[in-house]
Amino acid sequence: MSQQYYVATCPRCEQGLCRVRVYDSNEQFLRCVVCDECDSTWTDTSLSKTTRFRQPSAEVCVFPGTEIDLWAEPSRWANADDLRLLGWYSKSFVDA
Amino acid sequence: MSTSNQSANIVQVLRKIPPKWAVAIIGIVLVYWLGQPLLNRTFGWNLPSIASLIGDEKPTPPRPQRPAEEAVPPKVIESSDKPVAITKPDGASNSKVVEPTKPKQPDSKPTTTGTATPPKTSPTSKATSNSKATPAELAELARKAGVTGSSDQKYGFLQEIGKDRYRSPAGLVYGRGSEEGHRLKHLERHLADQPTRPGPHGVFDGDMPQVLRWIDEAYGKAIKGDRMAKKYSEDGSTVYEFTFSKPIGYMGGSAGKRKNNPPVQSIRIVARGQDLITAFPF
Repeated sequence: MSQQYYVATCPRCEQGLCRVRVYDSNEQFLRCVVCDECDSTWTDTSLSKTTRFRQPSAEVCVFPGTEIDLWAEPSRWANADDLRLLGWYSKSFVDA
Repeated sequence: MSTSNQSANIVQVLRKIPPKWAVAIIGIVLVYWLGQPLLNRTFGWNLPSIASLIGDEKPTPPRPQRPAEEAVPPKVIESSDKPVAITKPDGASNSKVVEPTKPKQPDSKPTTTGTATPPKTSPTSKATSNSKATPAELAELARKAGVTGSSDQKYGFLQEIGKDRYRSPAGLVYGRGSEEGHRLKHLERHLADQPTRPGPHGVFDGDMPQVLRWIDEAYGKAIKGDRMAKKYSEDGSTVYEFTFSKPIGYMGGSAGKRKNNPPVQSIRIVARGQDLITAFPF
């Protein structure tokens, strides 16, 4: 299993890990930060209220501003290269 | 024959017999006249009245009597199209019994011989009632009765309400979502420790049916405003917290490991409306 990265403990549920989720297809590259416990979503790593994104429903989680499913392939957790590309690598921690 | 002629005949007869016999006969007639209605009423007899003996009145026809079991007609309520597994333990007349040929399951505990069969429930049975009992109360009744749920109930506790959607007795809905694909699958993450996971990781000290009951109890009390519950909403989702009287799990993860996995007795539930997002002990 490849290494997983997270940027913070979730400020909402206080137990989940906020990780960067990416959608990488030939046409577009999408990213957001998602709590792996409570699905709270932000558009960047600040995890502020202003960058928080409200998901449409409990069953449907999408990348902010799109209808692309957060959990269906080719969506995946960001790896080190993704984080470097986004400029968020320095803000990330690796799972032990 | 006219009444005056009858009276004259009686007087003539009485004149012909000795006075003491006449007095005795009149006394007997008086006693009978007074006692006949009382005897009929008390013993259900049908003694003819003096008037009917004389011929003035027809005897009262016997009143039809219902057998004892028909005295109060049974209240039969069959509004559901599915058999009902649960009846109220007091056998109240408002309990539904849709399978009338099956006797009500006794509220007895299984014997220790190992030969006792569990309470039978129809595969399609539902925990329901036409009373005002809440789903949580019905679930409690089912638990007390030893009914662990029918085969159409997920974990013997959740009722399927749609494709991959299940509703708990307290009204919490478990559907698709999360990285695992389903909220129930996600909950399973909290049945075992992840000692290398950064931070705390709440681990339930029970199996899925038990965990679902804990979640439902906490949710049910939280939405009723129990003093041991907290609730706060933001951006469409709500966080419920409830503290039990006993530990329900322990703190796992790397933070828990550092602290020697202390027991925890609170639960945090994140829901969106009635849809569960996640729940874990903390």
